[in-house]
Amino acid sequence: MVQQETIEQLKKLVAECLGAKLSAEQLDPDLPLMEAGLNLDSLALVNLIAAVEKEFAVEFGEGMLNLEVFANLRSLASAIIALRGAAQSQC
Amino acid sequence: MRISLETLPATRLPGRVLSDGRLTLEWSLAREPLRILDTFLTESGVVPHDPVALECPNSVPGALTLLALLSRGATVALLPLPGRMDLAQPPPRFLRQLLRVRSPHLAGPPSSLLEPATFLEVQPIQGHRPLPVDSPLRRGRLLLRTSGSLGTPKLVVHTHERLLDNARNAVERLGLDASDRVLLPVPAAHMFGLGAALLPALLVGASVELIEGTNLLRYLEHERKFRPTVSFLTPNLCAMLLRPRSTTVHYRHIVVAGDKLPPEAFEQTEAIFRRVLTLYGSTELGVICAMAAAEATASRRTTVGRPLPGVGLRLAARAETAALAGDCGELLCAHPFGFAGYVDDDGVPLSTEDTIADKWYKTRDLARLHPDGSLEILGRSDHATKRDGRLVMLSEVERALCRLPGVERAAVVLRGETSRGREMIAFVAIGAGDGAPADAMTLRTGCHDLLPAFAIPDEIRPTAALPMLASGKVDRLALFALAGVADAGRITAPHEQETHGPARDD
Repeated sequence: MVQQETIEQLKKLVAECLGAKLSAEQLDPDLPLMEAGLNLDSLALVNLIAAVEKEFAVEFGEGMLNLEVFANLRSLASAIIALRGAAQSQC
Repeated sequence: MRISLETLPATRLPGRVLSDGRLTLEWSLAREPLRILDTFLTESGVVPHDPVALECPNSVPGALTLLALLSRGATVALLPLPGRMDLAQPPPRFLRQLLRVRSPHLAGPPSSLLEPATFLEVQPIQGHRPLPVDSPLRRGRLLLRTSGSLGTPKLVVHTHERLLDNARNAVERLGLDASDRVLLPVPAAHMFGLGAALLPALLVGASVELIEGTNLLRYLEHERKFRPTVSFLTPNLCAMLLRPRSTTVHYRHIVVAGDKLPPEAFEQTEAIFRRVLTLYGSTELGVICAMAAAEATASRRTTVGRPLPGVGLRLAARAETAALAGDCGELLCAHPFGFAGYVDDDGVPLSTEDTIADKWYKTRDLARLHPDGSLEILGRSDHATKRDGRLVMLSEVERALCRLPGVERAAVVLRGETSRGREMIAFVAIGAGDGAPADAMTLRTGCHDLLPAFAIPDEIRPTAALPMLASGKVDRLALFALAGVADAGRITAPHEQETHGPARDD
């Protein structure tokens, strides 16, 4: 299922952005990315956005750069799938 | 003049708000929450003649608590929120209580401005040692920690009156007026956010929105909803915000302080924010220089504008800048609204003889004064050295290192003497890479493309992360220790190190 694969890929990216303080397996897809959960700092967040855009070949427009999309890995995966779907339908 | 509700024009003008994205307080309605806060403080045993510490996030409850304390004429030490890593320093012992305002991002029931217990906790400070009864430090002071990147941190003491005068002095130059909507993504608990942004905004009657835990997403969300006319940023925040943007026509200008904004970024930044005004200040002196909104000269990209009214600037000759064009040296500043002195964690005054000579404060920044009176900051004097007879700014070396693939952060420290000058050790934090190799050899090779030979570090140490201070700055003292600087715990004044060689083992 595309959602699950995307989540697994995201776990690896986040683990890298966190400087391997957590292993990818330990990441819960429903854990908040911000203070209440993973507590990504400003730099880690910017790195994650850049890494996701590169890895998945998508671009987050301003409308997608919000706390709902980046609430947790599950919501982020859904957003990525939506962006890729939209991109493909334009071909 | 005391800081109180009556002195703040915002409270008399309709429609002015203090907000943080969750809570919005109309200033004209602030009297009641402030009265309730004052009662809560009294009932919690907080009395106006006992100094307190305040952990204050960028939130409406945080700002109101600060205002309530200032209105009582209390002495307040503003302390950073507990950091994400390592141990917080215990609060200074001459303070009686620690007032902790809850971060707006922590889970839990929402805060109500009418119930201070929902956002404010008063804790007695362990090992409290009261000041002498007649100590002037007991009332009317605001204390800030220095960033203390070298040596032991100390508290900078400001009187409420001078702090307000300092803020008032900046209002006109920063072009703030009552119609402004000021966005504050930088901490109000540090001098930039407090002295250059929050206090001037309140003095002029502008609306203010505070952001706690600023990151790209939060900033954009606040910006969308609040539509600020002015925002106060650091160069790092600017860089973060340089993305393709939709309309941002509500901005009149942004005010940027901190390290230099790279000249390449200037045009891009102004395309988004209309105008960039650079500002230079310090925890000790508040706002020193600022660019005027109307200024149109080319020097806007490289200078921090002219000194504020009443502020005097002078340069002391230094070996490092002797060969540079123009009027250069170490910057000295005489400021009418500067700090009252330093104290240690027992409230004992510390000598200022290393920092002030005959009312001229040593900023320890190397600078150039332009013929039109504007100031260009070259860098910290303890971040500069001569190598092969040439001036090297460590910040330039650090910037070059950061451009190499895989490099997230870099810090260069000086250690010992070589035949070429001081030895430079570069600590380089390697981030999540594209798999690009980032070992010392590769980094050194990369340096040769970016830096002249005399500026290449003698040693490059890749590492997972740089030691950081709670202020977000690199902990250079820890780096000295890692570099094996002799007697790192007893760092002498930077200029002594330069002229007398490495610290001695006395």
